[in-house]
This record gives sequence, C-alpha cells and structure tokens, in this order.
Amino acid sequence: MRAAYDLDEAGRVLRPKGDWTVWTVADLDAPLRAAQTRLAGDLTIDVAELGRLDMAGAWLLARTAQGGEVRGDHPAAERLITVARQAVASPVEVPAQPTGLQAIVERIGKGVVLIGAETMATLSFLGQTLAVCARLVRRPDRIRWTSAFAIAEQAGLNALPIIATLSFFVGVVVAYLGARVLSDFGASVFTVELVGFSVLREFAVVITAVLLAGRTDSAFTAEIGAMKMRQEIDAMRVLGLDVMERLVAPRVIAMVVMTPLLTFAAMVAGLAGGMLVCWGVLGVSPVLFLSRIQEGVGETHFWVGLSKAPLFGFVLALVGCRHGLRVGGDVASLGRETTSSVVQAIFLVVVIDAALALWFMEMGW
Amino acid sequence: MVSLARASAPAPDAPDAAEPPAIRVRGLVTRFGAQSVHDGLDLDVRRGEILGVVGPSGTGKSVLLREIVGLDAPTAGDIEVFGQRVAALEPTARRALEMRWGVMFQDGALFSTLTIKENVEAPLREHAALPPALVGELAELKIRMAGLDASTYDKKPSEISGGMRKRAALARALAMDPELLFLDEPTAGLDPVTAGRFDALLKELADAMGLTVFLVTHDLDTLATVCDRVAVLYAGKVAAIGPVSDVRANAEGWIKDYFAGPRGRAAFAGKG
Repeated sequence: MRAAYDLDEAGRVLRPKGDWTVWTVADLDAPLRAAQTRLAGDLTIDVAELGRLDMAGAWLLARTAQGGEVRGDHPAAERLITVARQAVASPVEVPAQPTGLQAIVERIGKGVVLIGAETMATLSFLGQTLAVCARLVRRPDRIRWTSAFAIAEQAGLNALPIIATLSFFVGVVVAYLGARVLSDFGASVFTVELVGFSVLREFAVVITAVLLAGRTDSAFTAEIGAMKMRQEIDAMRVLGLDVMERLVAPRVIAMVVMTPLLTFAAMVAGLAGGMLVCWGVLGVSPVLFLSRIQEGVGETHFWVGLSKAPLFGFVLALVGCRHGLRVGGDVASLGRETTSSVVQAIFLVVVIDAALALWFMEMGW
Repeated sequence: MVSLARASAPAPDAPDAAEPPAIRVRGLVTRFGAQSVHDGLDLDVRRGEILGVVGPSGTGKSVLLREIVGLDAPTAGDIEVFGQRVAALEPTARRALEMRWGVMFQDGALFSTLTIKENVEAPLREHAALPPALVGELAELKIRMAGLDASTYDKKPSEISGGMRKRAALARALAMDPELLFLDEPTAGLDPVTAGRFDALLKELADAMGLTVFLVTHDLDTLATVCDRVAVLYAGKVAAIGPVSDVRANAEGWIKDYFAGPRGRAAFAGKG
C-alpha cells in the first residue's frame, strides 16, 4: 500500500496511512520537512490507519512529530518511534572545516611539512638499508639466499624478454633517425657511432631501469604493502624477525645483481637493432658495424652505462620496499603507495641519470 | 544507547501457522573434495527468534551461513528463505529477497575507502530511491542505534577500534531494515565487557525491530544471554536444537563438554 498521511494542522495531529517503509517513504520526506518547519513543535501521531512500519518510516514520524504522543492501535509503531527518538542523541560538534584563504595556506603548509618528513624518512630508510647491507657483508650467512634468488628470477630473469625487445626497437629507431638526419650532412656512416654511444651509455640502462620501475618496483610495493595490511609485518616484528634483513635485503641484493645483467642484455639487443637497420638501410655489414663499434666507440661507454645499473637497481629496490612499508590499514593507501612508488622510482632514475651524465662528461669519460 | 522492553504485541509480520519458517534447510550436503562438511543437515529458523549456531571449529557454521545467503553453493540439498528457494530464484526476485536480509561478516568487512557513514549509506543509496538528506539521516540513525556517536560518522574503518567496527558493521547490516539478520561471530575478538554490551545491543535491536537472527558464535555468554534457541552442529548434522537450557540439560558427548567446561559453567552460572 502507498504511504500517505493526513495532517490536521489545527488539532496538531499527524495521521500516517499505508505502509511506511524504506521503500515507500521517498516522496514524503520533502513535504514532511516543510510541515515540520511550518508547525514547529510536538504533534500527536495517530497510527490507527498505519500499515507496515520500519525504522525509516519511524524516523520520519519521530522527526516530524518531535516529542508528541503516539495514539491509536498498532503492533509496532510506538516501539519503533521510541527507538528512533532515543537514537536522536545530542549531536557532537564536528570541528568546522577551514575555508578560503586559510584552507589554501593550511594545505600548502601541510604539503611543505610532508615533503620535509618524506625526505627525512627516505634518507633514514636509506641509512637503515645501508646499515643492514653492511651488517650482511660481515655476516653473509644471514643473507636469505633462497628469497634473493626467487626474487632475482621473478623480478630479473622474467623481465628479460620484454627489456630485450624494447631495447631492440629503441636501437632500430635511433639508427633510423641517425641514418635520416646524418645523411643531410653526408655523414650517415656515423650512424654506427650514434647507435653505439646512445645505446651503451644511456638507452640500455635507462630503459632497463624504467621498465623495472613499472614492473618490479611496483610489485615490491604491492607485496610488502599487502603483508603490511594483513599485519604480517607486525607479526615479523614481534617474532623478532628483522624486516629489513628478511624483506628489504633480499630485494636489494636481487636488484643490484640483476639490473646490470639485464642492462647488458639490453645493450646487446639495442646494438642488434641498430645493426639491422645499418645493414638494411645503409648497407653497413654486421662485421663492419661491430668493428666500427670497437674502434669508434670504445669500451669506456660500455662501462659508463653499466656502472649506473647497480645504482639504479639499488634505488628501485629501496623505493619499492619503502613505499610498501608505508602502506596503512586500508586498500586506498595500497593503491596510493604503489602509484607514488613507481612515479618516484622513475623520477629518481631520470634525475640521477642526468646528474651522472654531467659528472661523467666533466670527468672526460 | 537504546534501551527497550520486549514488545508484548507481535510485530506486523509476526509468524502465524500458515507462514513458512524464516529459513528452512533440508538434506544439506557440502563437500570440499573428500572432506564432508555437512552431511544431510536439516534446520528450521522460526520467524522472530534469535537462533545461535554453535559447534566445534570446522563443522561448517560459517559455510552454512554463506550457503543460506547464496555466497557458496551446497553440494546437494534445499535451502529456503521466507519460503523461497534461494538457488532457484530469478535475478530480480533474488535481489528482492536479498533486500530482506542483512549480513554482518566476522571482520566487519566494512569498505575501507569509505567513512563509517558512507558505509551505512551505500546500500540505501544503491537500492532505495530516497532524497540524499534523508539517506544521511537514516544512516546516522542506524549508526546511533548501533551505539556509536556522531564523532565516528566521518572516520574511516581503520581509524576506529575493533569493537566500534563491529557496531558499524551491524549498523550497515541493518541499513535496509532487514527482517532477517545473519551474524558471523559478532563478538569474536572483543573483550568480555564490550562483547557483553554488543550482546545487549543486539537483543534490544532484535526486539525493537522484530528481527529474526541467525547467529554463528563460539561465545557461550552470547548463547546464554541473547539466543532464544541454539542449534549445535556436529559431524555434519544438527546434533541438538532447542532452547539453550534444554540443550544444555540433555547434553551428551561434545555438547556436554562444551557446556560443562569451565567457560560454560561460568556463562550459565545462576541460570539453572
């Protein structure tokens, strides 16, 4: 039956009719609100013609009639209305949210403090990680080799195909660009040097690091974050298991070892891509290509590129683990930390690469 | 907190002779691989009663609950809720039936990204076409009825204590004014005082709203203070069912150990 009501404004009596349930009262909310403002005060509720009633209906009656008495025969009305009235406890003052200029200033202030705290926390995590690594160098029997190898396989070896493929195509693109642009100067033969320089020095290692940031660093954050959410990290702490030693160190070891190996694979694949284009477009044979790489490019660039790999691996493991440990109790924080973990990892890789590029140039390497 | 005497008059939808029981389970069989959990289990839950379901760990109490609400499918057997076979219903009829029950999971299962108030509002917003202001008011009403105050409205589940989370979960289970309430270990993990308050709250709400309650529990105090009847699951069947005092008086084997242990004696001290 539809919910309806009669309002005897002179006698101050509210007569609900029909079923008043969560499914039927939608249209009554606005008129009853208006009536309540207009009549302001207690009304008598006559429930004689009321059908089914649930808490939603009882709430509407209690809100409209306020303290007024309930009259008429109904099996549940008086009880439910009493419950609704009793639950209208004095509302607790919720502190007002600042608005306008104050809100902006507060937000900026919070942001600045947050950046400061974040920097401090990252540095202290770096310190802890270095301390654990130093301790493990002295006590290599405490290294979790099984865990380190499992992570090395999953994070490193399984990433090999995708890293090699991407690097190959980047080599192809660089060689094409070189052949095209350098031919305007009649120097298209230097494409070989271009490919050698760029792939060995920068592309192989940066592509590896960026891919590992998306693939492995995010996995570290998600794994450790899920453990944090399920209180596994807390369990490790109270059982006296060192979280840094068990979770962070194996990941650092795996990444520091695997990133150079993957970078090497990326270099080979990149050069292969360049070689293919040089052969097809410029007619430079693979033998000639390789001997020119050897004479014209030299091994310094190879070592410069490769030397950055362990550093990037270390940074990726550090960022991934740290954000994982920052995950709180709710699902949203897991998503947030995974996102900022990847963003921060890529950011750091590129910034460190830029700084190192300057340094290597100044050193004349 | 709400406090009420049990209503003398029956609720408008109170049981009469012709009405089927709230829940009727017949010949329920559940197997996980070779392991048999339920083996021809029969159970009736009457309208308006609070039925406590107990049994040793691993006797499929939670599984039974999940099967009744349709989260898991039994291997064989019939489950009827309000006279309707849950498994055989069309999606729309199924949805309508689901609106008539509320479920509170063991850990609360509150949505962790929403505030407490948003958690309770979620089913109201989804199903009832109510004005937003009224949705807010009803959600706040349910939260206060569950014994939480206004300072919890805008908190996230991770920011409140375990006992408060259970209350918030109860408020969400009651959001749609269900006729039937399923509770899985509502007092597990609570201290005795908080658990006792939760029991009292549950009884008050069940009386006030005329609820039928299916209560899976390990808590003997809950059984002693809240439940109208108790069903003991043992070896895949309902080994005993009836008022708590009857089941306790005629107890044998595991049931006897259960009620006669030090915890059982403490819970029933002074209750004959």
